[in-house]
Amino acid sequence: MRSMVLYMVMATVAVGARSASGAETPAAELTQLLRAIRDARAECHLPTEVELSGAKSAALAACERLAARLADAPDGKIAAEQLQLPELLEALQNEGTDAAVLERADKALHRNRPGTKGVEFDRVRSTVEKYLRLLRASQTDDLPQQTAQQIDLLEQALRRYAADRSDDHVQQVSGPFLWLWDHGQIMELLVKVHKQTVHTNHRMRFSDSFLNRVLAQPITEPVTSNEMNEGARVIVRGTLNGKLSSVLVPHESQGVIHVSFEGLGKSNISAYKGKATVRGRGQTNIHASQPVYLTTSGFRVGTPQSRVSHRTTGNTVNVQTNCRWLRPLMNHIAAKVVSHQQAENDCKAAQRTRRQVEERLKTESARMVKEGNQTIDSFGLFAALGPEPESRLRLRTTTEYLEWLGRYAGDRQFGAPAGPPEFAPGNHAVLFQAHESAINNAQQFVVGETVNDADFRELVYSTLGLVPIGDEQIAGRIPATITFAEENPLDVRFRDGQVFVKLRLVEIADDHLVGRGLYTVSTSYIPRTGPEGTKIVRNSPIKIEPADTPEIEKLQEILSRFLVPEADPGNMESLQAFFKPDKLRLHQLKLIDGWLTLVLDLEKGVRRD
Amino acid sequence: MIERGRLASCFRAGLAGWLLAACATVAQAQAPSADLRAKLQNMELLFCFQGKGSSMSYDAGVLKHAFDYLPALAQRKVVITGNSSGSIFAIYFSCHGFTKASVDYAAYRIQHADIEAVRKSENAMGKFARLATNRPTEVSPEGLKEYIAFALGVENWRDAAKVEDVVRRSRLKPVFPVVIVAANKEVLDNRAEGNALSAKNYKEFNPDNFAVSWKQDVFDFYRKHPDRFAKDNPDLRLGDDPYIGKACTCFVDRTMFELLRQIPEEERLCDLRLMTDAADMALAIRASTAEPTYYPPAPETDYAKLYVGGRLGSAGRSRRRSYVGGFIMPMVAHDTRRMLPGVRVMGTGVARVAIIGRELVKAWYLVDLQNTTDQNAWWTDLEVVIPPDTQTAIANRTLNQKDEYDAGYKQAGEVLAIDRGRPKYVLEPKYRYAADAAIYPPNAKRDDIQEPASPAEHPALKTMRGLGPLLRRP
Repeated sequence: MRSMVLYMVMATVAVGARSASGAETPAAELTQLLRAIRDARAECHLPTEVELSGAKSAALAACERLAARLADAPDGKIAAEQLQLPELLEALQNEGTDAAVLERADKALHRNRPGTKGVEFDRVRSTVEKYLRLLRASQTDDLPQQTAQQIDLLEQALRRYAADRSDDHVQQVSGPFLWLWDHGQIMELLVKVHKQTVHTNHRMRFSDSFLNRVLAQPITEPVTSNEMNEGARVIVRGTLNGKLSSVLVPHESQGVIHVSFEGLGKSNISAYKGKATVRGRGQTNIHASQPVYLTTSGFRVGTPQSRVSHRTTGNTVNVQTNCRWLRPLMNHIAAKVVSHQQAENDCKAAQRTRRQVEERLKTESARMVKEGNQTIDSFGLFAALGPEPESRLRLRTTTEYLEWLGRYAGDRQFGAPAGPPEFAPGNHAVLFQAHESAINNAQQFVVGETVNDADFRELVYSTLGLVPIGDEQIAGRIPATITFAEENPLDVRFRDGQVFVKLRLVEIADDHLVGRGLYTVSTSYIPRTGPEGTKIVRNSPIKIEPADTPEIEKLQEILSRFLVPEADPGNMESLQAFFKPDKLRLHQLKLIDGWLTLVLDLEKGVRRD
Repeated sequence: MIERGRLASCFRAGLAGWLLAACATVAQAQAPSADLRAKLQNMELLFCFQGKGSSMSYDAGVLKHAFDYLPALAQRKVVITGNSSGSIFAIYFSCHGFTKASVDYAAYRIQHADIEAVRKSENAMGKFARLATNRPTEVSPEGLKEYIAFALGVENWRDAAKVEDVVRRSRLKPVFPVVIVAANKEVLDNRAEGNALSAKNYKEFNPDNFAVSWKQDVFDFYRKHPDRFAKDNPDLRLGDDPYIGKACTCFVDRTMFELLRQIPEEERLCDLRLMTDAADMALAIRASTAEPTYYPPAPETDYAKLYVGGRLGSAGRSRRRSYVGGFIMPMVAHDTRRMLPGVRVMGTGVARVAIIGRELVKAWYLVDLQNTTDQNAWWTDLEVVIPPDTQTAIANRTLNQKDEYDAGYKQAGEVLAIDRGRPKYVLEPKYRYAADAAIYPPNAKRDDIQEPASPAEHPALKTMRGLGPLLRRP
């Protein structure tokens, strides 16, 4: 269970994406929506002075509350500066508001994720955003005409999208959508448009056999007890050998795994009562199972069920008596009594064992569930999806796999134009599919960040189980660094079997050269599959713009440490460090229509035990 | 003029304490004594046992091979250093020296030691789950009993109830020059309430000299709110400037203490902690192995032996001191090589820590350990670089002790045969030139210094040269 969560966490982190879900939009709903948009054409919301001043006051009050909280924190001044709070407060306190300052502050606020600085911060974000929308609308001279024009564009784009759900058509929707959103027009309809056009952009499937490999483990436990039973001291010594395994149970809205345990206990039993001693060998068969449910609220377990049978054999009876004539007779009588009671005793032993097994199952599963849920909480797995993770995430199981479908897109972002392409299930361990939007929507994580080539290679190539060519020859190298730009730092496209990468950088440096400016760096990669697995090869030179950049060749050389010429399959080192039982190897990599599909297999001959 | 606080503390410690502290301060400005020079000028090798958790057998294999190649080990021309589990070997050889018998015995004991408890705690999955649920991952330091007994030469350790009992049975002292590193918990502490990765980030780490300071705005806030400072940081004192202290402490024998304190405070990477007896050495092992998530922090037991801010018997701006492992400096060479430019530096190899592990350490103790690792790796002349497959196996703990020993032995053979083994990535340290008070080898060919790029620059010491003249082909 823990492994499963961790794989999900790691894979999600790997693409820098948070996940969510979305079913295919029925055409009828789109048609209805188109009608509503057409009807809304005449609507234009021109903000009144009262509305504007109300929104401004709300934003100012939220800023003041946040400023007051930060003033009481040791790092409050630093946080306030990061958020550009002093400028924002000044702008809001002025009679006339400087929209440019607000725009800048809005961007700074959005670089920080909601929830990172408390509820006061989230309130500032939402109130400033609302005020800015009204302000933009009020400062647009021909608002009614422009609104009508954008609604027309939206309707046309949506119509094209309804006919052909392609990435290009989603792009066409996004233009008028963002204009209308940013000017606070037809907001309710826009929410519906968003809901209808944003689809799953991340899918993971964990095969039944893989999950079983992760969960299955042999269990060997000593069985010892020393207790009084109906006036007799009963001592049991033995061993329980068994195996934990899992089976997936089909469910449409949650992951259901049946975890079961099959075990055989063998023990030696000695019972002492008065002058009588009874010895025997016990054999206990245990079958126990319990369903585990994974939902967006976390893990929970169902009622455990167990079946236990116990049989004692080979009883020997000995009664101590001083009279050697009486001893055989007493032994004979005692043996008769024991034999007569054996069935009843075995039944009692089975029931007692069953109670113990169920108790143990309940305790263990409660502990595991608690751990699983706390893992989810502590690492913000579902919290990262916002207050309603179920609206963005869907979990389900079939008999063949556990599936995780996610839609990673903020209110102003779009996901995949339709669901992920189908993939022949086969007997692969893990299927990972990410739409380019899942990566591009995560740009905020790299804005302004500096990363060196060692970390970049670990994050990108090692996570995919690839080793850049020449990696083993690196010795005594001072890492080069790149710094991402504040605007659109990353653009990745998966098209025509290739990955097209575009980075916007403000610095490229190694120990000899520092290039500063605004560089647009682009290149492309193609996967090649051979008997050793899939490798990726750069199939175009690294292009740096502007083309007249000084020392461009040297900068290209530095960048080739990041955008390596070739990366071959190797072990998934960084993941392995966490999940040592399972050596995953990249089996297949596909890049079609905006989707990256990775198929990972367990390396042959690798077993958990 | 002696400041009032210091005078008071001197009286508290008695006249002898005052004299010692005063002498220590004066000694810093002086050149090394003739005695010290005589002891150290012929040193040829710095041998660093680089920690690998429970996979110490790998180092035993490396050493077994290196012993045949490097006469300097048997000739006692070696400074021994170590971090984390490498500190156990460092202490052992500081007491016993390098002989065929001591090397063989160390290899035998380490391969046959009981590592189950540590191995169990190293299970990443278990650690992850415990961290996620805010439960401690650390195991009892009593698990180190066998290792400390080995290092301190205590044969009859099995009936000892505690580590202290083992220590009491040892009469050993550090004989050969030794340096062991451990991070200073109170100085680096960065954890915040919340989840495992929650961090305060109120402090700044200066990689040039490992100084840790308050961010200026945080310092200003605390100056205005002393009560809040005391509540938030009960183990620290707020000074007149944002400086808090050094990120780490080097546990040293008397010789290395005298040597390393010659480096000016603003250039030296660590505080110094003098080791004179078995208890000090046991503390060094506990301090350096108390890595985050492994063992609980090891508290200082004798502040009189702590050398902070140029004063013996001081904890600087910390009210108390405890140690949280040697993660901060897997190659313990920076200060020693600056004082002994003639030595060549050999390491037993270090594995790269995955980014998620680094993030955790950074959240807890401020420092990106890969950066400090790379910066200290700059001083390496020869590292028995761990091959990727072995690195993975070590990280996953899939090898048994014999396999690890064999892997170390084999890899050392390959690296030493070609005299080439360099760390993958390095970062240039700021102070990469010899210290003013450095002790140079007599009549030696000066192949240890690079030509400076400009006359204004200090000539940097050469590194990553291999072991060259120190190697004897067996």
